[in-house]
Amino acid sequence: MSDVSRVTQQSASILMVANLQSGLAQLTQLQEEAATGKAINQPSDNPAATSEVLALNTQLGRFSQYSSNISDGQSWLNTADTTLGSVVKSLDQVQTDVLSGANSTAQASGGSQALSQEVLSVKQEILALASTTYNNRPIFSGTYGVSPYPQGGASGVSDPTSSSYDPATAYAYAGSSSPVTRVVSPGQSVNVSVTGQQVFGSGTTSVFALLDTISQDLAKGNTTALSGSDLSQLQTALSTVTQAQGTAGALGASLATDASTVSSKVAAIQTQAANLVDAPEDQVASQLDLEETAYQAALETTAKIIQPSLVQFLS
Amino acid sequence: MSDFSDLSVGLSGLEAQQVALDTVGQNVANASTPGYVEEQVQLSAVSAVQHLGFDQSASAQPGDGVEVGGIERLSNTYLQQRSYTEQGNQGMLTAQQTGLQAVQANFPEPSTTGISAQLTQLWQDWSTLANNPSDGATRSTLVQDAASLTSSLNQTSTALNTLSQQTVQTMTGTLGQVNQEASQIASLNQQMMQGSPNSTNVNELADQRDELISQLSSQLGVNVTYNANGTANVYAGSEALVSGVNSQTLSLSSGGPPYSLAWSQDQSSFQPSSGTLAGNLDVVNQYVPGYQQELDQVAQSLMGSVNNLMSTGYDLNGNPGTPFFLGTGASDIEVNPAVAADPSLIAAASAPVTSGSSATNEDGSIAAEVGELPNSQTATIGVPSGGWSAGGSASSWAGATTTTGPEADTAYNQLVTGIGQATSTANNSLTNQQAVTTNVNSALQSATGVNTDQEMTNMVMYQNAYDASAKFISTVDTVLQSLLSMVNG
Repeated sequence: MSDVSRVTQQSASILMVANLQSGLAQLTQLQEEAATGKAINQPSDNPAATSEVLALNTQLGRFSQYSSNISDGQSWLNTADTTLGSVVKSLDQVQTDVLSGANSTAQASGGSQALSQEVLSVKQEILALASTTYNNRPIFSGTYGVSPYPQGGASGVSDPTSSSYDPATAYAYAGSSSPVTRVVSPGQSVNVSVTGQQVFGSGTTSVFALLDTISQDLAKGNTTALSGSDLSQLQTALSTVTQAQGTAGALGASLATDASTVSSKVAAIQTQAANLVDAPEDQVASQLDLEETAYQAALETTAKIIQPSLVQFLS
Repeated sequence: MSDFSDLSVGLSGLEAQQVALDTVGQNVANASTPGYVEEQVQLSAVSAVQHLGFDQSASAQPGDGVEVGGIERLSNTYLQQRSYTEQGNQGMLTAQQTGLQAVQANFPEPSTTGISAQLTQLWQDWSTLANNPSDGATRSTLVQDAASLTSSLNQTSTALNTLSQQTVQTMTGTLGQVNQEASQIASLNQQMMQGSPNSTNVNELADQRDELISQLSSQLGVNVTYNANGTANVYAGSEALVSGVNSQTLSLSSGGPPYSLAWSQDQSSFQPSSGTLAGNLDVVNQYVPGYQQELDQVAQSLMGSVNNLMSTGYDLNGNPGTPFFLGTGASDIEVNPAVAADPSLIAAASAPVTSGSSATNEDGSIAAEVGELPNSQTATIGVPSGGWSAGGSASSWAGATTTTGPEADTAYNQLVTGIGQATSTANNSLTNQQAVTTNVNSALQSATGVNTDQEMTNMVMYQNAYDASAKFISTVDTVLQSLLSMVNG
């Protein structure tokens, strides 16, 4: 109110209307906050907080993505881990066969067709394991969408007893040399696969070619080779696979750590954004109460002031 | 002095109180008329005429009654001008605030559906593509989400243009009113000059004129000077919109932005510094073009940073990447129609598969890099001359890839925050100005408005005076009657 000495009906009404309107404006603002439950309903409500919330939401989008990248990566690594475990078991079986073939004097003359066949079927098992897929993608082909040893089961070239046997073609690695990666935090991507080349090798030096050789040696009863180069190469192959399995396990464990870091980061961002955006319910409610009371009081006062003038008292 | 002249003294009293009562009536009737200024009767005593003749001996001589000197308009030029000034300020701030609110309405942030959320979704789509580079559904989703983002940018840009056009239309309407008011003021000046203050009551004309100037002041912001003959000159800036009985018109330049006003007399341009027209000019010349430019930067940053990475990649068919986004700015940004039609053209891989291999390319390292773009503060924002076009080759973009600016999310954040800041400031300024204007207008009303109590008091006073004058006449009559009866008796 201005402190004017003379008051006219119009000047009084100008001030009263202005006061009532500012009360109503404050009330409306609070009502919007209470209705939406948000302290920021448009950028001008709090520009600085709006900027922060937008930046936090961008970050939240990124970290939710890292979270799904990580769980995807974990699935890749789990599949690799299980598969490699099976490969190790199969190769252990071959090792047993090789040792029994090398030490068996009974079979020395004619060799063992049974063991030879068993090793060949183990080779098929491992070829099948090498083609394991996750989400329709072969996990040992790196960044190529192709079975790592497409010719592995082909007749002729992959049959060591055949005249057209050609391990270089049959076991040629068709995948890429780059492993699959996942971005798990800003600027950091990790490998979530091992390539078939690393685990199984390629062509004549592949584990499959080795198994063919062992199978042949078992069939022939070539104990010298069996106990010599076959065994040592098999052990090398076995340790390579075991190592790869260990790598997959370690990567999986480190992803689990990343996962918990990222999920706590996501929670922190969400809390921070909610603190900025959400209107504190109890505060808004009590403020609304206060403003409503004040507004009603102003209305009543105005109604009383506005009534009388001398006109009412002149007869 | 004679007994007969006493009758005329009494009569002058009756007449004067009658005029005074009429004035009370006029004041009360106009108690709520906008712009009405309280009027007051100027009463003065008439001094006695020197009577030559037999009565010279009389030493004490009363006056010859009362006369009405005029009806004064109780205006207050100082408060009046202050009111014009504050109304001009309020007009400007209101127009600015209205414009900024309208701009802000196109940026409903923070939200889960705004451009910011759409950008976030786009980056996530790129990351998802990096995880499944050959998946057709993932590629299609990316294209669709990108298309809805570009259409949001297009719509926002269009909405800003529409706002600018609407504001120009509003200004044209306001200018029509301003020109009409100016010519009305000039014609009122003319009428006031013709009706001499002594013979015709020009107070009501002055009220109408001041009310017109008051309307004009909130549209344009004016200064007023008064001439000796009671007419007013109205100045906007340094030129006279109304000078006595002459007025000129203002018009809006046809092309813009920037838009400007021009005087009809000398065609000189005029930039008002207050009034709604000043605020509207700010909206069309500064706010909208400025925010439009910032929105363009968001689009350019998006196009530049994504296309730049595309140029280093290879699509699913083993071909070098093509631009993902086409266009020059926010108004025309679009997903490359070729890519939209065949999402396998998205260059997600950093290298093609080795020649001869039948493998699908599951390398998503470029897509992963695109997904990580929001982590950096800066991005490539240059646009090749003529915009990003479908046929462009990596070498033809070379010049465009050297300009850097804020990354798209950062640029958009800055834009929204800037709008919020400006709107918030405008809201506060307007609230403060409203308080000032209210007080000045109330003070003006206090000084010049009608106080009903006061009028009622005056009415009783004039009524009593009228009664007293009537009583005086009847007393003089009685005195004369008794004198005549004695003479006749």
